[in-house]
Amino acid sequence: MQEPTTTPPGWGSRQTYRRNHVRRQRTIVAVLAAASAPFTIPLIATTYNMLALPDRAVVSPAWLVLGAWSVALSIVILAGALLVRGTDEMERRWLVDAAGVTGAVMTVLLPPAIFASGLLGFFAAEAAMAAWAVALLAGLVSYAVARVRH
Amino acid sequence: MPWPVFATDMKNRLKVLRAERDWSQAELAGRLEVSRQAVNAIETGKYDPSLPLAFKIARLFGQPIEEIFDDGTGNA
Repeated sequence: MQEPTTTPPGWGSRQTYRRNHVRRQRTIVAVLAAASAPFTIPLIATTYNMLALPDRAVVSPAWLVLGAWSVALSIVILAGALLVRGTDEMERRWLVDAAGVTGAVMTVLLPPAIFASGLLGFFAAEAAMAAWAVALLAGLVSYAVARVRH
Repeated sequence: MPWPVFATDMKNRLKVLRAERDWSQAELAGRLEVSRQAVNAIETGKYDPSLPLAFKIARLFGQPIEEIFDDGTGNA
């Protein structure tokens, strides 16, 4: 679908518009998938007493939780791969930067969040998910800032 | 130094070549299959394109790469 100069005026602009539309949709799907994936575990774990809130705990097989988590993770990976395919080389660098920011924030936040959860009466899993949400948001902001700067 | 920095001292004539054809950044981006932001970043020297993209740009404008990009060493 590339170039030739014989293409009518506006052809490239329409390609750009279409490409932006696809990328935006894939970004939304990937972010939603990544944001919601960790919540699969407590959702399923309300029927599993290892991770669940004790008063709602019901013993269920571990494969159910692991299976749900695997499906959620697969969706995230698929959405991420589609997003990467829909981006150009510069946007890909921004995505790598954003992933780095998310990882860094997660690394910084997770240990104190788990420690504080014990002091404040939260569950460690809740603290971990809060840390994940903040880290993902930080990555998203990093990506958005990079886009705006250009 | 601005962050993130991906560019060197490379200069290019992309903006001039685009203007000669009366193309917008979006038009050029569509023809190169990249984002408008990428075109803008290359034009302003904030980003150096990969070799495949540089070749694609050269083919689009029908000129050798060294006619479009100058690495600042005076060898172009």
